[in-house]
Amino acid sequence: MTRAAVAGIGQTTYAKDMGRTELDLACEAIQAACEDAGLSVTAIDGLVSYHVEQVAEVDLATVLGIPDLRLMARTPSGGGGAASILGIAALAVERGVAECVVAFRARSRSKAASYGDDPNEGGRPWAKAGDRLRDSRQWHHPFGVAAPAHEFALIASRHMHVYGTRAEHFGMQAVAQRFHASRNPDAIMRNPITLDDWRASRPIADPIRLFDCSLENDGAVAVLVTSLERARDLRHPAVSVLAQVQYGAPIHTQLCEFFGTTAAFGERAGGAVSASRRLFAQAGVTPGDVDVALIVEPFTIAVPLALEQYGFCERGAGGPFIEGGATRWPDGALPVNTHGGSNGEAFIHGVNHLPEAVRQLRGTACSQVDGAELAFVCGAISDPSGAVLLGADR
Amino acid sequence: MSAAYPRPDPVAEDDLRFWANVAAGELRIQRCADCGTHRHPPRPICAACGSTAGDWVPASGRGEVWASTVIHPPTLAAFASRTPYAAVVVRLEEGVFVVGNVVDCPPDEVAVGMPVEVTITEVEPGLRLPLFRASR
Ligand SMILES: [Zn+2]
Repeated sequence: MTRAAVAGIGQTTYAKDMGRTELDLACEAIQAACEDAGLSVTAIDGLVSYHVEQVAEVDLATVLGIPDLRLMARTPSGGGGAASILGIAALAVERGVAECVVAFRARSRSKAASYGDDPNEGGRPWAKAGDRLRDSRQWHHPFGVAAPAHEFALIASRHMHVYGTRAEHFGMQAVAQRFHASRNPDAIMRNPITLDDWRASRPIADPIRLFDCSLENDGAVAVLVTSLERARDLRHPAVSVLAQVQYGAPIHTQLCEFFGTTAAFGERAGGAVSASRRLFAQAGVTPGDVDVALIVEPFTIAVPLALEQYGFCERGAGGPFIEGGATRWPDGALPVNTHGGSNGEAFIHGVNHLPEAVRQLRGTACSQVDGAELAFVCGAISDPSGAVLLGADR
Repeated sequence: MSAAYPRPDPVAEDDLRFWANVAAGELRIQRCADCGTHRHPPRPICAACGSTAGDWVPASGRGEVWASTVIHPPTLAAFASRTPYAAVVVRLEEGVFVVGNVVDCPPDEVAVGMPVEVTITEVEPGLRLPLFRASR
């Protein structure tokens, strides 16, 4: 079988209210990924993104001049798909369906960037739900549960009750990521914070505070996947796609089902716990072999949940794992979100975690993990989601 | 004056039935006629056995706070003047989970593990919701 590799990464500036269309942002990121690989955009023959992505494949083909698109695919829900879009691109390359597939996401996320009435047209989706509820929002919104922060707060409260996790554990991850962001010139939040700063940040939905939340900003990211063989001839060291999994767990936007299946903490076949076993078996490695982890976190609570469910620590031990400094660069055993993550670098619906994994394996990250050879990336844990393992080609 | 509550306005038959029961002052949930499994939110098929035969049975209304939060701004316009307010997920005795609010209790006294019982409450004219209060 052909092995797939990441050969190019591209991103726009990340900022609040950039005043640009998502199509414009996507084009810039995709051109940058091609430039990074040393390939023409006409080489692209596949596009993968989220189902909520508003930039249409046909528009990219027209605007960028992509002549021969052979693969188009979308992942369910939102940030759960951050690793899966790369995984699908790799599947297409491995199968020979396409040779040069771009996974991308473009986002106008800042409040001011809302450009249409549809919940997915920029801004805050929950604020645009309206007051006549047809879909699953009818089970949440009448009780004032609407924003993802509310849903993750409820999930966090259960984790705290069952395992003794403390709100400060989430704060410690927020502090670590803001430290990482302070070292990253592309990050929106360049000033580091202390745990006291976190304590002083305003409460959003207990136990979640402002500094636990992903940023609201605009920007786009693209990664270019081709065969490992071809990638070896391109501009940068190739980064191999070693393994990938997806799982179709319930989603935080449907809390009755979410708690009903107890997928929150993975005690269910079909969640991240069993997916993790498949992932590491595919690559023939263990969680202990991973050098750096990029964990998509709409809120910092997602980090301990993912650490536990993917097997980097025992179930319920995610908080103490963070407290012990394991996730903090440079001394932690498993630096997590070394670019600053969604609360420090930017919120591109988690897709900005992919280029950071690639930089780590190329040896070009701002907060470089010495000799990093194996990187783990997972989408938001409380969605239908998935993960990939990426390896340096040495 | 608060903005109007977001109102359930479903098109699915099962959803309409649920809210009609609440409007009539009853919390009823679906139970599979073949295997007896309860399910919520409403849906036409039992995921446990595949049966489409179901009954709407009165819920005991008793349950336990499974998850809890206190919500601060920003939030939905209808709730902006109510912040901070508590929101919960309750596990009913029947084994299903529902999202709700706990009334007659300060937000910071709502806790995971707390026993609660349902109280169908008219939150504004023409809108009744299944809310909860601490069990007596
Ligand atoms: Zn049944």
